[in-house]
Amino acid sequence: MNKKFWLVIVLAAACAIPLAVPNDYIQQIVNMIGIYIILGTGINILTGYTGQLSLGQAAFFGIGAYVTAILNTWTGAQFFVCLIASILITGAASLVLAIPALKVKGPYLALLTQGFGEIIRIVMINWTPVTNGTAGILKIESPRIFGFTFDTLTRYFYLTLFFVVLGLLYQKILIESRTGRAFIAIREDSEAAELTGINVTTYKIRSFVLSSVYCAVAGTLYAMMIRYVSPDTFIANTSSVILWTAIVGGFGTLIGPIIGGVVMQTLPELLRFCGNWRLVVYGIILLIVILHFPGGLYPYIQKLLAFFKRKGSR
Amino acid sequence: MALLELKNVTKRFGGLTAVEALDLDVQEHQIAALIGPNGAGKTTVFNMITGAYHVTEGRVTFNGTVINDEKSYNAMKPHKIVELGIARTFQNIRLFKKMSVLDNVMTGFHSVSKAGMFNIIFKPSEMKREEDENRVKAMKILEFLKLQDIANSQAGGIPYGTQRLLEIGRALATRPKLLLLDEPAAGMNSSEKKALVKTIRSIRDEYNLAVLLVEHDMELVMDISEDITVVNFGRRIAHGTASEVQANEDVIEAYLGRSDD
Repeated sequence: MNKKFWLVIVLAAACAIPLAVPNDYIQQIVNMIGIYIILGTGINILTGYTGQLSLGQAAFFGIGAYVTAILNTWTGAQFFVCLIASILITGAASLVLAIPALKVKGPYLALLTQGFGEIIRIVMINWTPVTNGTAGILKIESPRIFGFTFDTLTRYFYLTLFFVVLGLLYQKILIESRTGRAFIAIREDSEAAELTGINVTTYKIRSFVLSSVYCAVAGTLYAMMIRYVSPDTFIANTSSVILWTAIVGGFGTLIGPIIGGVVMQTLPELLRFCGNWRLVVYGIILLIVILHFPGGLYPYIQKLLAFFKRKGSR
Repeated sequence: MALLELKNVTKRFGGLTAVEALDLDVQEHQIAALIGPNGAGKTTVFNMITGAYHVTEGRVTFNGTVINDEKSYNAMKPHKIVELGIARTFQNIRLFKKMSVLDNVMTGFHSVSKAGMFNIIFKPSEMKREEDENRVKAMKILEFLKLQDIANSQAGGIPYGTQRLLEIGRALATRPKLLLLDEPAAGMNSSEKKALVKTIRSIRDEYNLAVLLVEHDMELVMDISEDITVVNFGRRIAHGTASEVQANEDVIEAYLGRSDD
């Protein structure tokens, strides 16, 4: 009861965010936070809960965005068609990668996924007839759903919010289910998991494909919001920002990706006053966070909330 | 017919023969023990039964099904063997430490439940029912092991002896017909050991299963086992009841050394 009450409050507050946003520039950052929460949730399931490190999430994000861009500009396909195609094609690509990749562990898996990310980026640049090379794909249409067009950033916010809530809800139910326990068991001790009756190989693949589906959804949302895709967006740096989104919030926690999404997207903007030193300061802050809060920010925010609760009840 | 049957099983690692031409039977509802000095090949035997190792020669049969033999296409994957009804515990405890005690047991139900990733969307009520049923069953197992009060504690934080019990609980959740216990008494004091003997017997009766244990504590082994197989240097040197094995000269030699007269 109490939990549901808070959930409604938080959702209502989230719906009211555009009221507090002064201009489109900030609205776009807020929307990007939403997209990164989805990306962060995907890698949280794969790395935070299943313990498989990926440095190639930008590839799946990119495949999702390009499938959407190509389908929409070539055939005029609408949002849901693009979304489903994006999920299916990204899922298939991740399955093809997962089957050989998940035979290796830890740093080797990280390297393999990073290599895959590079391959996809190079394909985006060089497969000019389809991807239009470095120029990217322009003039993607805004989504039209049941006659309603999401053509302003404020409208787009609600579309993004819908998928953020859906993605977080699915994550919560999944992690507390039989599949989620299998994922965590693999992270904790994959050999013991196998000897408890879990088919470790197929569950690793499931986790991998699922995390790529989150990337696909984020990719479609991104392409139809910015209405332009180019290879510059889907570089190794994007993969690490996605990874950091989950780390900063708290790996293997349900709301870690929310905190990570907010921090990773707003911090570079808040640091604009640093001028040319912006990225240096950004890097140093992230280093401090990882050194001081190795479990991410979520446990500390939890403690802080508990503190205020105690103070409030006094 | 024996529930578990190892026939002429050999395991070589390169030039090293860890187990040689071993025969071992476990009957239904029996408490059997596999003993031998350190390095005799006991853990290797467990690993062949659970499918972690392929046998080099010979055959392992469980409940009439070949689960491991020299043809690799007959060798079953470990999780399949769990589904068939063999569960194990580990010498060095291997719980899912960051999960709760209850969730560790719930994870054990994996092979006997179905809900997948799509049920969340398409069959939520069916999934919830299965989840509720499993939670009740898991609590029953915890009550049986007297762990119900710590159901929500983190598994990595509970005392050592309790962790051992929890491992048994997780194994029981897979509904085994045969339970393999790898040094279940290691690190336990004498009163805990006495309780363990009772627990193992009551598990056998309550869950109607057979037990095969590897254990160094001879008092416990002789007390509990109905059938003992002694191995040394990978070979079976004796087999029989506790009193038969204790009288066997090869066994005495293996444990105490040869007298020099």
